[in-house]
Amino acid sequence: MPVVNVRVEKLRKLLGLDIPYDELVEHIASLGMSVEEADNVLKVEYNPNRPDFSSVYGIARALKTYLGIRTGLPKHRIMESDVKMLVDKSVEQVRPFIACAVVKGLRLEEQDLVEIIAMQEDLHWVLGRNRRKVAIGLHDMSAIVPPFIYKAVGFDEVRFVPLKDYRAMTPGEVLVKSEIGRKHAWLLQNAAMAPVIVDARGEVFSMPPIVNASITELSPGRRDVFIDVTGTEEDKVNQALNILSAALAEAGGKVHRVRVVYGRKTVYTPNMKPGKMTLDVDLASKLTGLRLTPNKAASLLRRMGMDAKAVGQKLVVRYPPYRVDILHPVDLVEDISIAYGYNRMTPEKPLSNTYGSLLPITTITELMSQLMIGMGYTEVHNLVLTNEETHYTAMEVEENSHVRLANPATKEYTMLRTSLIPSILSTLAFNKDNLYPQKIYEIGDVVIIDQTAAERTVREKHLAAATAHSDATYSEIKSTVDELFKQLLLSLDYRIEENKTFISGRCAAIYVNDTRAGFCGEISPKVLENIGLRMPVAAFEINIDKIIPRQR
Amino acid sequence: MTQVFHWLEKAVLAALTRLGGRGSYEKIAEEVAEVLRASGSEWRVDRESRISSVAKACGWLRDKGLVTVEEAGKERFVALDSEGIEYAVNGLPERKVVNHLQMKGEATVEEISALPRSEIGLMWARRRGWVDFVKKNSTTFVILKENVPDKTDVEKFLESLYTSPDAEIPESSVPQAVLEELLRRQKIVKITEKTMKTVSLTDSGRQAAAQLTEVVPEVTRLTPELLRSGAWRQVVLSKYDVKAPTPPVFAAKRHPLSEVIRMVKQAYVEMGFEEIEGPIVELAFWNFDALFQPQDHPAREMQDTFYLLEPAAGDVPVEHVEAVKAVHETGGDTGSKGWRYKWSVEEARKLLLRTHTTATTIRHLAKVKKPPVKVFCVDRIFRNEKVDWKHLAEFHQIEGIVVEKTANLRMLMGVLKDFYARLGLKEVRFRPSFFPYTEPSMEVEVKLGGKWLELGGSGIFRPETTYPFGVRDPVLAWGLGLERLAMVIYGLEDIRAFHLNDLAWLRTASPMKVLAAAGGF
Repeated sequence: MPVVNVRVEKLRKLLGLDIPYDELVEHIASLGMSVEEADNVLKVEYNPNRPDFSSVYGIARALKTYLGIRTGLPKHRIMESDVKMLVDKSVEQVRPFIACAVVKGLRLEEQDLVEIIAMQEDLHWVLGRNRRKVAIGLHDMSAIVPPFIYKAVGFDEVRFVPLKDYRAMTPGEVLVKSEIGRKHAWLLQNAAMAPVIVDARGEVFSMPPIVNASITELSPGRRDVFIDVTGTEEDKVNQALNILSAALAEAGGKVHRVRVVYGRKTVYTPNMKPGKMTLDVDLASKLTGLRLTPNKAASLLRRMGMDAKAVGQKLVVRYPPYRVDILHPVDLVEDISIAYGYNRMTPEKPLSNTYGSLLPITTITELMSQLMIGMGYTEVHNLVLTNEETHYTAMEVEENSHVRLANPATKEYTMLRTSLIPSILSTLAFNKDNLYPQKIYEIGDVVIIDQTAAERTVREKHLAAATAHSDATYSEIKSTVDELFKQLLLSLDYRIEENKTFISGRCAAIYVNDTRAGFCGEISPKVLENIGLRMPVAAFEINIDKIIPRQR
Repeated sequence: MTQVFHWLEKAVLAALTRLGGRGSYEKIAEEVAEVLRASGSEWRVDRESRISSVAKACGWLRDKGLVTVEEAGKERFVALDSEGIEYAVNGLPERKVVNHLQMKGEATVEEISALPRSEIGLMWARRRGWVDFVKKNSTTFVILKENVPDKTDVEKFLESLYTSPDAEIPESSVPQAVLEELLRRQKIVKITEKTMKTVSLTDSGRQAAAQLTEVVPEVTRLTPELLRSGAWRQVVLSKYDVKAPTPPVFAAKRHPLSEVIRMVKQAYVEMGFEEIEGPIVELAFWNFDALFQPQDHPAREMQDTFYLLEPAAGDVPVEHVEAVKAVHETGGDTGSKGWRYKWSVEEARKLLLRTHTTATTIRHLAKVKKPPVKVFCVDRIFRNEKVDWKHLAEFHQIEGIVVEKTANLRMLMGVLKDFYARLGLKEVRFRPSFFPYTEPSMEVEVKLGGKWLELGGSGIFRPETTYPFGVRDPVLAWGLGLERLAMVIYGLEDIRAFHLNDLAWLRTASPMKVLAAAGGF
């Protein structure tokens, strides 16, 4: 989850209120963020549906209304400017949308710049899906001359000096030579052209979504800032610009509109137009369990930075343009709940009369557990995730078809087990320095490929057990299986079977009603050597689904 | 304080007193037998066992400060070797030759050769001057001379060694000539060297001995034989040191995780919830799309979710595809704006390891639709995460839903509070949170050991999640962490302990922890 560093002093200044530290933390948590406390800087973790919390300004804005300092829809004055962005048709195939703003008179200290860049990076991730959908450029306006042109060019067509570099390069070279360029090169790996923004003098000052030119790099001081947001979805591009504009306005800047011209279509950005949604107050009452009047609901929404006007039992709600999470009236209901306070609500019990029950498989496995424990076996628990080395090679058996992972993070987990015996033997190997005798069992899942299933697999419950001590033999494990089946009121028969995991001639398949339901035997010394175990082991495994068929 | 003595300890104390306060193990053993005989009992074990019993008893007495045990130098003993035993029983080879000749008067060398060890026999008989060789008609005869004694010193010694109760005689008490001859003849006797111990009564040992009552040999184990024969009436069963440490035994039992799972399931059943289950290899459709998670959502990316190389894709439920597609693209008939992108059925067909049991819940809802529904699931889920002390790639989720006409946020809080109360966790609080498929959403926090612990997420399913499956009533849903709860119950610092299965831990981890967590009985 994204994290924003918030300077406590700055937050208090923005609120214009000297709130005690603990209360401040408490209020931030009530808004759904979690705070990790550190002296003068709060590490605030926010949910990715609220990218407007990506700066101290956004958090201060939410607190202001929530605490009732100034409720309702915050006003952001947007001024006119004559800055123009001309969008060339050539970007349509690469990165079709752009939204821009000019923020004048920003007083930026070193720390402010760090925070603004952090916010930009958060937006890249949360809204931009790692710059794919949205990429943001912030520029020192004094270095460039409008009008600007957003166009796509050949990879060797233009040259500029990228940020954090000193060499003039073509876009193609940027992706290879510049450090920032290399990092983001994957974003353009299938593109035929590179998008760039050039100013009236033909100077390239941005190569979205990769890097800015070094000429527009921001430094501390009083600055006029030009913002470009490019991307593949118009909505998201505008949302990102709205969030930035609101934040920079609260940072003391004057936000000016830019005229963006797409051929015959012209739009003005940032738009900053509030969203509008109708909320049925009954829905809010129903979902929260609170008895809400339209007035009460409206006042709660105002505390969440919205405006609401009652029309009968309905509210016409105007919500801020940076609230990208509002898709449905239920999203407004959540804001009502937050404003009301989750921990002020009295819990109540469900009304419906239902009867509890366990799955038959739970009951039968409980029973089997009881029998195994009665015979002195201790339960172990292993993962379904495993690897071919443990599952097949160490067991001296050939690979059968099995679920293979496409993107394992470690070599340890590359597949799903099809049998419990390897897990059980690994457990014994892990315990080789613990006291013997060791008798263990596991009831767990295995996953088998089944092309007829919608998921191409079936999950089976198996039971496996092993006994390890100096006198462990086939006859001991057979006695155990005999007793288990006797208690389960099942008759079984053994048929000799060759299985390389076991000693030849000391392994049997277990049949129930002519169905092969499992196997048992004495583990081969080769396998014991493979796993580093110096103790005789006998083991069995049965497929519970085969002996006690269940309905799926 | 009166001390409780093993009967052997008593016997050793008595024997030492009779020996004037000190003696070797061997001497004490002899004396113990005497002590017992004096009290009308017989010590029915062989000498070796007697000495080792005495040594053991002296060890106990030393630990109690009643005797001291000191090394008293080494002593050499003569004992029978392998052939010596045979000779002691059957006679020396030269005696065999003599016996044969005494029966027959004379015999040819060939005839004598048939006797066992005849060569040695002939050699020694001749050396002792017992026989002569006489040639008659080119045949050599052996004839007996007159002066053959009944028993030589060597033979007498072998006999006494064989019948000696100790089976050994101190080297110093063997006549020089006898020993020399025996040692020259191989494998008849051997010399052993022993470290001698001298046991002496201490002052408190003397006092304890003075207070001794009668010494009777005791039987340690009550055997079937004693019972069958009725001999148990004649013996005394020895008293044990009932506090002495005994070898460990381990109770076979459930795995701690199973104990917690069982407790959780019981809580659910008590609350009227029905258990459900679902596949762990899941379609992206059920794991993500049905839950209104947009197809470009970060959670769907490779670094969080295990996708499958084989099998890579499955069949989406055709009856639900259109509705889910619509809700993603436009919000469908839910009144939502939707995510406004082009939904791909190919993406939904992908197979993965389910990242939450909510996939199983929504499958269930798609089937039953109508309230009331109260179901739960405690099962495995997977995340493609780096494994460390806090994170596993495979763990368990505690899932549950309530569907009622009037279900609401307060009811969700009530169910969760009730649930945790049954696990012994009385303090529960809620914070706003975010999940793509619930609104409102709540984080559930539980107070444990003075600290608030995030244990899971909850909320009311969004209409975009339920409408496509024909569910119009509010669905309260939650997914809580099992391992984190179990870690607290079992006082674990490292989450990996649950699947390492270290028997040293499993054997000591008490199931009472779960009961204790739930507030005892």
